[in-house]
Formats: sequence, C-alpha cells, structure tokens
Amino acid sequence: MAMVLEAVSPLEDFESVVRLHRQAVFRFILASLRDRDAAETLTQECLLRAYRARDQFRGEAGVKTWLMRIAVNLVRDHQTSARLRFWRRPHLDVSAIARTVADRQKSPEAAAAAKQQIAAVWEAAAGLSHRQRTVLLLRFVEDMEISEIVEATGMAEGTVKAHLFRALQNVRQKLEKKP
Amino acid sequence: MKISDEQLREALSLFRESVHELHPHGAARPVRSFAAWRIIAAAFAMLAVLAALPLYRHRQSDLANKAARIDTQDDALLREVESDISLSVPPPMQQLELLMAYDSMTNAERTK
Repeated sequence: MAMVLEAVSPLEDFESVVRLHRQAVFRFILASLRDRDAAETLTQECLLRAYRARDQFRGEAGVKTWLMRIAVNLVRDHQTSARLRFWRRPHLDVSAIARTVADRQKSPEAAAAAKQQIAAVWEAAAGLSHRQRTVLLLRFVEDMEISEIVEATGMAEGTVKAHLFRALQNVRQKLEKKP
Repeated sequence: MKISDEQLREALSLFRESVHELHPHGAARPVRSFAAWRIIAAAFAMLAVLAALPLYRHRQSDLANKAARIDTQDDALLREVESDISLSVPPPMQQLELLMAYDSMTNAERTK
C-alpha cells in the first residue's frame, strides 16, 4: 500500500510562527521607523496579513523571509504616508539602547567607545534611503543571506548588493567622522 | 580617521546587538518623544511661575508694609530723642535746678 505523505505547511501552526518570528518582525519595523507605536501596529498588521494569506504561502522561501517581505512593504507604505504627517516626529531613545549594550563591555573605555559606535551606526541608518536601510537591517541585524534579501525585497541580486555597498559606505563614513 | 574592516564589523555587531534589545511591550520602553517632554516641562514651569506670582506679590507688599511701619516708629523715636536733647536740663535733674535757683535768689526776690 502506497503511503502518501502530505506535506505540512509551516504555517499550519500559526501560533508557533508568531512566537518564533514576532520579535524579528517587530525589531525590523522599529529599527526602520524608530516609532514604537507604529512598530507595534505594523507588526500586528504583518502577522494578520500573513495569517489571511497563509494559504498562498508556497514554501519557496522561508517563513521568516515571507514575513519580512510583508514587513518591508508595510514599512515602505508607512513611510510614504508618514511624509504627510510631518508634524509627528518619531523618536526612539537610541542612547538608552546603546547604554544597555555598552554596559556589557569589559572596561569603561570600551563601554564609551561601544556607545559611540552604536550611536553612529544608528545615526547612519537613519540617514539611509528606505532601500539601503532595509538591506542593511536584513543583512546585518537579521543575518539573512543575499538570496533571502532578494526574496524579501523583490529587488534584483545586483541591486541588493549595490544598496548594501552604499549603505556600508555611509556607515563607514559616519564612523570615521565620530570623535 | 580611517576605520578598518574589522572595526566596521565590530560596530555593526554592536548595532545588531542593540537592535536585538528591542522587544515588543519591552520593559526598556524608549521615550516617546523628547520634544513632547520638553513641551510638558515648559508648561509645568510656566504653571509654577504663574502660581508663584501672587505669593511673590503678597510677600513684596508685606515687606513694603513692614518697612513703612519701621519708618514710622523710627520717626517717632527720633522726635522723642530730639525733644529730650532740646531741654537744657534732663527731666530727672529739673527739680534740682529749681532748688539751686531758689538758693541763689535774694530775699526780695523770694518775697515776690
């Protein structure tokens, strides 16, 4: 008797998907927008859209890549509409976050240097274009491969690499300018 | 100052660590808006000044009244002192002066 094994979609257990990937989606959106309220809302929106479209998930890309694709689109749409809400300036207390990480360094000197470096990269990231920042965050924060970034952003591989190169150049320049 | 690839990697690694500190409903909830806090602080400062203004005025008026009262008392004291100084003989010595004057009178003057 031939046994037919039905492939189980990784989205069947959606609660596990949320548990596993919610934080990654949230931190990507928050690092992109620097607006905690918007990040909370868009994370919910992202997971809701993923849940509604779970039947369309073909499994060609990983679940995280698929969720990131939705998140990237949500961030882009939010940034477009945010231009009209110019009076609402998003703010994220980067110095508090930098302090938390810097305090783990071995010496006070290393902690001070780490704090400066973190602040410089955050500042550089804030000054990048939407595409450059997205590529930078997906590569160096979410540790995604170039092929996964291609899937998540819908950009060509060459475009992803070019944006990544420019983003790194900007970060390098910002670090070189720091005192 | 030129930075090496190693330094760039280190900075990106620290940045990664800092972004991984961001949690939904996290305890280390960042400040919503520094500008908003500044506005709130300015509003509180203004309210404090407005609340303190009547107290300041009341205190100023108290001080002015006290100064006027002291001036009046000083004037009265000065007048009293001046009237005492203007006497040729101090009041406790005036009886003695009368006796001395009586002693120096002639009999004719005394009968008058």
